[in-house]
Amino acid sequence: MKRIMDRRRWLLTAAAAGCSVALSACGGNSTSNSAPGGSDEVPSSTPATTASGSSGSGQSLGCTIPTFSHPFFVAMKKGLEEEAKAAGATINVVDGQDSAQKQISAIDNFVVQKVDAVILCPTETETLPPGVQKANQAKIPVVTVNRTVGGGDVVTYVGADDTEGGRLQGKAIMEAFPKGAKIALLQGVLGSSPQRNREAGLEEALKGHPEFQIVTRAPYKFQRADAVKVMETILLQFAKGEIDAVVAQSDDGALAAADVCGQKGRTEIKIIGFNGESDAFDYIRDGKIHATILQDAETQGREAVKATLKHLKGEAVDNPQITPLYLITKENLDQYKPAWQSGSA
Amino acid sequence: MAGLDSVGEKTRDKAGPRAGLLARIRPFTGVIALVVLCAVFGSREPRFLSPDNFFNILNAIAIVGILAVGQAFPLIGGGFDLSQGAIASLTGAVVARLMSQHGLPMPAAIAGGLAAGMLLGYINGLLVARVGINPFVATLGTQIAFFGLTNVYTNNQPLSLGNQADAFRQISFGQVGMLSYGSVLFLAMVVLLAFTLRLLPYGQHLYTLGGNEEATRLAGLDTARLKISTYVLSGLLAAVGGLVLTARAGQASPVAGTGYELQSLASCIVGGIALGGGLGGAWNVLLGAVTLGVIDVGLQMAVNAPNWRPVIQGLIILLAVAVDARARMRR
Repeated sequence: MKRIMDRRRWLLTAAAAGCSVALSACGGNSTSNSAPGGSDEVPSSTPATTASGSSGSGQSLGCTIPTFSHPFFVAMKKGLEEEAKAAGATINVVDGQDSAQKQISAIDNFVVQKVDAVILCPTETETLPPGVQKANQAKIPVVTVNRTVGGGDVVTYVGADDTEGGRLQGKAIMEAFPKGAKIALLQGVLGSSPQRNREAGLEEALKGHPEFQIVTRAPYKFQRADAVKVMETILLQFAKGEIDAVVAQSDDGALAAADVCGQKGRTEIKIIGFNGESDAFDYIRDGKIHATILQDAETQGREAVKATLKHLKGEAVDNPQITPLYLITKENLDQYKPAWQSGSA
Repeated sequence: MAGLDSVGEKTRDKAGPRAGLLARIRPFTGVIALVVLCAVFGSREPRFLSPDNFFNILNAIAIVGILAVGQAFPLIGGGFDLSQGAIASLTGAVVARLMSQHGLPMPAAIAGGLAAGMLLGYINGLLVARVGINPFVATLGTQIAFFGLTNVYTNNQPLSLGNQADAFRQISFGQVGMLSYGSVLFLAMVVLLAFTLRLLPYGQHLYTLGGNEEATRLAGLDTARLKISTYVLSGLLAAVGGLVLTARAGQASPVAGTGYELQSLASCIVGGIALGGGLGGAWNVLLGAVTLGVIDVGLQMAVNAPNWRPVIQGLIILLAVAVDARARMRR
């Protein structure tokens, strides 16, 4: 008898070991994944999520977002986690570390875990369809948030329309300069969907108005220090009067541009940002930045969870669900709350 | 690779009597390339050749340049350091937090950041010299771990610089005449590097180590300690670069240092410091960093097609290194 018990225990141990090997094998990246973002809870919470899912105490959601290292996505993560908690569901948010491959393997893991639904904010639109298709094959519904995905079946998209944001930037320029303007465009990460769509929106707004010209474009990778560098060169290349406005694809670029313009005495230049973080609100109040586009990442996260749970209950869900963007200037600043606090102490 | 006979860079560029033209001009190929590049960019955008732009370029390369000075130590000693960008991020965060959260005065916070940089470099040195891990793997591993630590330490959030922000930002924005403080720091580090490599015994030991490790050991030098010291210096310089980076950004972003290690490596290699060790000096670091800065700023001014800039940038770098390689072969 004892012998059989022993044998059973041995088998169990072996099975468990096999499982963990399999898990770590298909999540090859997710182990290295776990370094930044304190997301080392990913592997360890895996069994927990599955357990609570099977015990029927609530829906289990798997989610992956492009990075944990940008406050925009930290705000989104907060919205996702708080809304799930409020609804009694569990959610496992995995750091994509700006790698489509890591996001695909995260989805692989979710399929193995048999989560009830996947919420995806893809790093890249065109490289994530295989991940979505794998979830589709496993009959796990997918909701995309903030960024769209180029293939596979998606229940709905929840998020803002970056193209519309770019159009709003263009509108702000046209209102500030009725007679036309020469514009420097500070671009985010080249090829990323916010860069492409915000630029497309801006160009669309300026189309048919030859008095508005984008005279130079410079990428700054959404990094402030890089924006300082490219802005200094722009001011050198374009003397006073040769440039009227700077459009940056995030507030990081706008804030850096404002710092450089302030230092070089070029405050005649009007600067427009994107995102609406608290530093940008302060700079707008001080007149250092002309305007920004406010997009609320936390609300997007909340709405994505709401839509997902609604779908799991069998209710109809609108597709897409566009969350609004707001043009923030000195005039309406006080009616809005910043998207996030810029620097934590 | 070079043996003990080519210790120091003085013997390096001696072209023999039968050497080809390329080998004869080899000591100057870098400078010639730089002049040609400036002429091309200047013809497309006259303002590129303005004196203001000279200082602008120096300021633009300050961070990468400081890291490249640090990179020169492990490179000459026969290794290299891929964790510099992560160290810059982490030490920037340390300085920011010491000021904003712990209320330390700026000099103390800066000292804390530099000490952290040296400690992280020391870890690299231990892994390479004592544990015996290949420098590529060792510093790639610590790069990942240090970036991870930065995220843990900052909770993924950019850290503010507290009420000393304006004073701290002077490290990047302050000016002595036309030079930014960042450029002054960079140039000072280049001078210090030249002094160390040419005039201190330590410099000679480094060339010996990079040229022939076994001979260095037989000569009675503690090679492990020497190696460790190169990574400590690389970590220290990465922390100095991290200060300028943080000052420039006005906050310590956990991802701010991403990719800087490759730029610093590229500066050294384009400037003529060989992978594999034993060769190169401060001049090469300066030349490489300036060349990459000229390409970077020049392309921004002269080519209004951002997608094409990296393509051209890569081709110019390859061309420069190819000419160099050909010249070496003909020697």
